[in-house]
Amino acid sequence: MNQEMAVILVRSVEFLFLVYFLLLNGGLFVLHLIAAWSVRHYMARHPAHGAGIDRATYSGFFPPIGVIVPAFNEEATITTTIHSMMQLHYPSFEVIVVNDGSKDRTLEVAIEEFGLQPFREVHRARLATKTVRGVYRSVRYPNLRFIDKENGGKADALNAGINACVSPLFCGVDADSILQNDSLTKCVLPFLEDRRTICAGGTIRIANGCEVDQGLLLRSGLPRHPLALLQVVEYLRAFLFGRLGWSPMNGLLIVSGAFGLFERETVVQAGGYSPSTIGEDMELVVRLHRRMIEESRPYRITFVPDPICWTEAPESLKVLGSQRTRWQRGLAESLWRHRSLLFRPGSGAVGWFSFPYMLVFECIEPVVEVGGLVFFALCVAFGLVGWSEAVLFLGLVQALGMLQTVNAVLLEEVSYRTFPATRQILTMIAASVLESIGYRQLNTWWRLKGLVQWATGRKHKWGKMTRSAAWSSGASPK
Amino acid sequence: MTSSSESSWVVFTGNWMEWTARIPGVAPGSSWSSRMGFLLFVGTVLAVVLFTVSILALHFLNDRRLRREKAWKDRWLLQLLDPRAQGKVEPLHEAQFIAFCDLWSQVDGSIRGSLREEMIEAVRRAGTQELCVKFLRKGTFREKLLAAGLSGQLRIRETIEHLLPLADSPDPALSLTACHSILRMDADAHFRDFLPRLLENELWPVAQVHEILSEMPPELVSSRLPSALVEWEPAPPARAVRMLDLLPEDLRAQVIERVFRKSAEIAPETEAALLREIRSPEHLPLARQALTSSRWPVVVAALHTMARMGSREDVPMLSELLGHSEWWVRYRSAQALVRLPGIRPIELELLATRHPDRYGRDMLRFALAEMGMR
Amino acid sequence: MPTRRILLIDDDPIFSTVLQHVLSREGYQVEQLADGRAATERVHSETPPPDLVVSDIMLPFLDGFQLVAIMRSNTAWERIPIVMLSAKGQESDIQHALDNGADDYLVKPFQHGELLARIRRFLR
Repeated sequence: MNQEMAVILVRSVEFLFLVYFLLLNGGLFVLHLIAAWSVRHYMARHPAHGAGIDRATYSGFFPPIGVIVPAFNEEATITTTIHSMMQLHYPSFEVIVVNDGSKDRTLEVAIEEFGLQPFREVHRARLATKTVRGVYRSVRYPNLRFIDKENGGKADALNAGINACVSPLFCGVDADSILQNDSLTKCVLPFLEDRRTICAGGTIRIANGCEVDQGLLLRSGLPRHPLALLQVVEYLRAFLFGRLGWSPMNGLLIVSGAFGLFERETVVQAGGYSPSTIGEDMELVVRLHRRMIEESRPYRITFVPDPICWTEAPESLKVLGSQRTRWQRGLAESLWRHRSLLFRPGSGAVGWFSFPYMLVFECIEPVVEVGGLVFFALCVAFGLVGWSEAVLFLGLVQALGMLQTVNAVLLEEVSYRTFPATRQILTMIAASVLESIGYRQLNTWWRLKGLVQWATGRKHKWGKMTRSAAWSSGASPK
Repeated sequence: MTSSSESSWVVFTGNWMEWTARIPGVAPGSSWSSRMGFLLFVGTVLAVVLFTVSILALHFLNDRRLRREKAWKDRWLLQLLDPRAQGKVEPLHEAQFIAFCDLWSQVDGSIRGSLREEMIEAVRRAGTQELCVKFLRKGTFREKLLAAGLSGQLRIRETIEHLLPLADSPDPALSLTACHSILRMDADAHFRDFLPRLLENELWPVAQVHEILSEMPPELVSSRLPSALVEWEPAPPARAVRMLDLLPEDLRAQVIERVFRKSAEIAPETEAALLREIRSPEHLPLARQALTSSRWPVVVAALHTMARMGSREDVPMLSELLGHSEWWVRYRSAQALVRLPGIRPIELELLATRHPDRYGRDMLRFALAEMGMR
Repeated sequence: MPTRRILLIDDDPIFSTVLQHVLSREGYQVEQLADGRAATERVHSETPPPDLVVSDIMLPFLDGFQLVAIMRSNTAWERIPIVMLSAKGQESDIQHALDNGADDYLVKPFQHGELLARIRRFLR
């Protein structure tokens, strides 16, 4: 009798795992379909070679943009970063560099290179930030401003930049982001095409292996380092399906911190970036959704599939692990903070689809995955599930994972062809096959760690990310 | 569950087991679900292989297509650039329309003058008229937008009747492009109708409207614009005033004076725009008077004019404004001071060290530094 | 009279092609470079300088202003006439370029008769 009960129990748990597995893959399948459809739709409106026409047809309609670049201990790269920003092709933009209390010579280097002059400038501090020590303007570049403030973290620096910005749109850019000179022109299109747009995010790609000079992309290329290569295909997949799939139904919950364009006034009213969170980029977007829904204001948060920003991927397991752990923590934190969005009446696709999906299939997914593995391993050990069946199931999971990534490579081929050589295509296909063996499992482990850290509320030990403590690249692809 | 459906289930699973047993690789004694899993697995792997093959196939097809498109573009560019190829222009196909517009917009953005006219002649011979009319009638939004722009650049008059409804489109880019193209082709007939809309429609960027008006025959603008501005009740909006610089000096002065005289209560934006348009010395007192306005945008506009036309006698007033509470006023008065004709560097240096307001001193120092670098 | 050589520095391929075509039709020999670094290398190379330089202001790596400064500090290039190209609406750049040592400027899109007239004036 007891044994019978146990079998029923095991079978029903097994059934639950299966249902989860089917729902997850069913959801992914639908997202893939939507993404494929929207790539087609987008390409019809904005052919890859059509940037010239967009410039011509919308000339005069381009709103001024403030490019806000927070910088912390960047003395080695600050001149390159600023030079590359000054080279953007856009009719009207200003660059606001915010020095977040760097402990090195960031400020002095910039003063020297750009002929910065202290400039007593009073702007309304609509967002509370740490004390601003001074504002500098360049006598050489009229559209460059430099804000020197006390250290307060990336969100705080971005807020100080927003305070100083006078343009209707602002764009938060990581200091180590590599842009193309048409990045702004491409990313601003959703604002021109739909007046309800309050935010637009762009596709982030991995810069490792690309030829980059003085912050500008010369030629795209694939990295030699296997860890970076796996991230290339991972980003391909995550951006196409994790973002593009959600965009048409206005359910996009993440806009990468490495490059995102926002309506300034809306962000100011929403309170700016939150300094008390880890994933300030995601938290802001979820908060914008929440506010717009609460005010029942019609709005759009759009994703631009054009690759417009390139970021350096970590090539060491340790750094990558701490980055992923942090992202997962940020995700859990943002979802928890705005949990009232879940199934909220009138919240549309956000509350009914993307929020629950993110919660069930992104946030707690590592728990289910590890739980499932342990469960099946026990089942096999106790002879409740046959070896062949277990192997088959694992094989199916791997194969589905590969299919997703290969599909991402396929969509890339019909759209942007960022990596056009035949060798590169073959390398990417090989990487997609390898990615689901080993790399994904490693990722699951890191994400589980992040989740556990969030749940236990343990003070997160900042990993030694490329530069410093509260400073880390925010280009989360998930 | 009824017995009949139960039996069909049995029949189905029975068939299933029988059927799947024939597939190579299925263990004879395996369960129903593991056979299903096996099939799914095989199917997914096959899909991965299929996708891989199609990526490669697409890759080679795309390569070929891009090579052809590049060759086509290079050929077209040469045809456009070489007017001696007259009569030998290859016809344009529908599928190449967007790519062609892209190429044309870039060429068109590079050159003006007689060579451009020759190019237009060449493009017209390629059958662009038919394509433009076709896309204007039933194209996607993008095609309509491109066709509207191209019709105007190439002066395809047959398209005017199709452009007129588009000029009322709710999309500002499409409506302005249509309006622009119509005016380029037949300003005499349509200028009168479109002028109020051009001056009024907030969705159309001022710079663009200014550009369109500047392309119009000057006598048309001179005959219509002044009355439109003066007769506006109670006063024209600032964006309309900004078009004043398209008028000859005497007409502009007249309009400024009449608008100022007509209404006592002018919106600050309009007043500021009027002040910025002042060019003749006889109106300078208007700007001097505006320096004392309580509305700072008006003061800033007056300072713009002072920077252009002020003289030494304005130094006390400008120096007082250097200590104004508004940043922009301090900024502009410093700019005006350093640009005053006849002012000596030593005077400015003195002012920059002795001015009572420390913000004012900073601002003047920055303005001096800016001048020094230039 | 030997063929006059013009160095054209612009990163927009179509614009360069158009300009190159216009100039070579007038019998000039045109050398094209697409960015500030290539131009700098050209200045420091052994190749004799051209008779005239036409350069855009917005260029990758080094902008037109920096380029002018580099040319003016090189003895062989000191006296080569430089015509700057600037996008419309950036007239403040022009003043800056002229102050830095450029000789003349043109606004894009250019009027080809005007460009040729200016070039002739310098190469007379």
